[in-house]
Amino acid sequence: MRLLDGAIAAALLVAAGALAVGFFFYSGNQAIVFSVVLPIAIWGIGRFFKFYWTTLIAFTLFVLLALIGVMININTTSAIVAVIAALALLDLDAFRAKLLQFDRIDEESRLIGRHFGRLGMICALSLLLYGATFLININLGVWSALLLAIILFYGLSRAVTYLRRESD
Amino acid sequence: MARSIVVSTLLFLIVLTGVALLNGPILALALPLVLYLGAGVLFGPEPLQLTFEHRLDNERVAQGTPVTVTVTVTNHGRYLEEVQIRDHIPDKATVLDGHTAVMASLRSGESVTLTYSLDAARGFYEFGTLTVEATDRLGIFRRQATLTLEESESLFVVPPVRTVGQIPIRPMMTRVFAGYIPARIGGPGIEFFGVRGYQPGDSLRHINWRANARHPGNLYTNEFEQERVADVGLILDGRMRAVVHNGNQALFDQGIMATAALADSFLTSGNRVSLLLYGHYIDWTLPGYGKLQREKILQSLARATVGDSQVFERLQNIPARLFPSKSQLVLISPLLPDDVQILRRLRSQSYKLMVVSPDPLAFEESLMSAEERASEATQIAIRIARLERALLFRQLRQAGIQVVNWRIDEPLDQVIRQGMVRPVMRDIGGLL
Repeated sequence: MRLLDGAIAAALLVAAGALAVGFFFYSGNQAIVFSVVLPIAIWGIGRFFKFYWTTLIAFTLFVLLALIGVMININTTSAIVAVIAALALLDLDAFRAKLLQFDRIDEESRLIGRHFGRLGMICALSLLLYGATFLININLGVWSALLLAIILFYGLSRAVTYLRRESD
Repeated sequence: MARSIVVSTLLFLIVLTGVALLNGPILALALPLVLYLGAGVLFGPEPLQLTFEHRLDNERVAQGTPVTVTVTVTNHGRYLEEVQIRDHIPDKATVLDGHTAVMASLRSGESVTLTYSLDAARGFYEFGTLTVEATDRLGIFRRQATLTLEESESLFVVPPVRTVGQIPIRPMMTRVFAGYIPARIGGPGIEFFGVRGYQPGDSLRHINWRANARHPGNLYTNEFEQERVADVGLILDGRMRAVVHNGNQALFDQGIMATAALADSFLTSGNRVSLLLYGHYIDWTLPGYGKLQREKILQSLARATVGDSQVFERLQNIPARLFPSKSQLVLISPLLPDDVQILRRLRSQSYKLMVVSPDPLAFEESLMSAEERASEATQIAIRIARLERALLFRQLRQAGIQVVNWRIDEPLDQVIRQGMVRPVMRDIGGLL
């Protein structure tokens, strides 16, 4: 459990740090840099009062800040790192809450280890694919972009419906 | 909002924004989210194929005795990365030791066992329902199932049985078998019953020489009272309006313990005993002898609950015909003023009636704080209530009904013995 707590703290710091660095190098404006304090505060309050749903809000804020950051042209690597770390934070926090519900966990260290392995794999693949995007260059016209948007809208709507039905 | 919904909604937003702005870096932000959800879909659990066994180390225990429960769940399907198993515990049971839930990984053919001991209040419990939830390693997708045994396992937690010794009763009619109850019939026995003329075959030791001296020429023999077994009908009052309770039915539980003790005593003496639970509904345990009947009565008492039924609000609906004519009835009830008439009617139907009455006033008084008890209004109220109860007892005794007032902090054995010997003196002293 200590390892898990450490990983959660690390994920939080990396998410906030990456965004702060990205915003700092973009503008140097302290007001924007300190916007990353908001999700940390929300997460901290939730942890203090044991409201685990606040992690969802913190995660959403991190992702939205990263999105805004990319839209205003901060360093994309910072934003991607922030999103990956925020995702890790969300996942590990939920995993920790689940573990706390049980007095008996068979092979706990192995279970935690495998969870870390799966999450680490996703984070590494994300960075790898992000690296690969530098090698890919697709030029889209207005109509092809519109077509792609319609297909994505339909596909994602179906995906979200499926997720709502199947997930927790 | 669930985690996967939030992630998928944000993914939706990022992708649409990226496409709308034709911005590649924004689309790149969606990569971790796509991979995260994709891993969930890819490694999500298959439909659950689980079986389980549920074992109790004892199907019948006395109240206060712990029961060990063993649950074994076996996976017959594909590998379950994370599975959470929870056994359903009855509300009135407390887990003393062990675990009722476990989180584990289960390979195909692998089993996981839960072992725990629990302490349950008096009652009848059914086991055999289990909740299982399997998720992928990241917990994004889940499959939930409630497993139920075809034949659920049952547990009786019976009330403790206190020993009260032999209770002296004298019903109007006894059964043919030898026992301990005076049968009002002359024959072989211990207690002197009368004198009759000598008949060939009478033992010379039983000849009454004093009577022979008074009547020369005739021979007289002492006759003894036969002792036989009798029919005893126990009636436990479970009417809500009669039973004082403080949330956990304490006075009713005392009544149940008294009934168990009386049943045990009568059965040990060889009598045929039946039980009628009168309250929410009528629960009738047929008359019987011996250990088997004792067990049936204890199981019936284990299930007994206080009830609030309009039909059984008064004792007038006691089905007296269930009890053999002229048998001994024992009512265990705190008693209400309107019960007198019905009990008189039962007495007039040739039943010998005894009432063991757990004292509701003493019980209610014990629940009060010292300040409440000391107040003048409370003292007056208690005095009035006791007078009413004394009057009720007097009316019953005038009808030939034996009444025992039982303050539940006193041993039942002692109270019954004293109540049978000097009932009037005791109640006057105890109530006033």
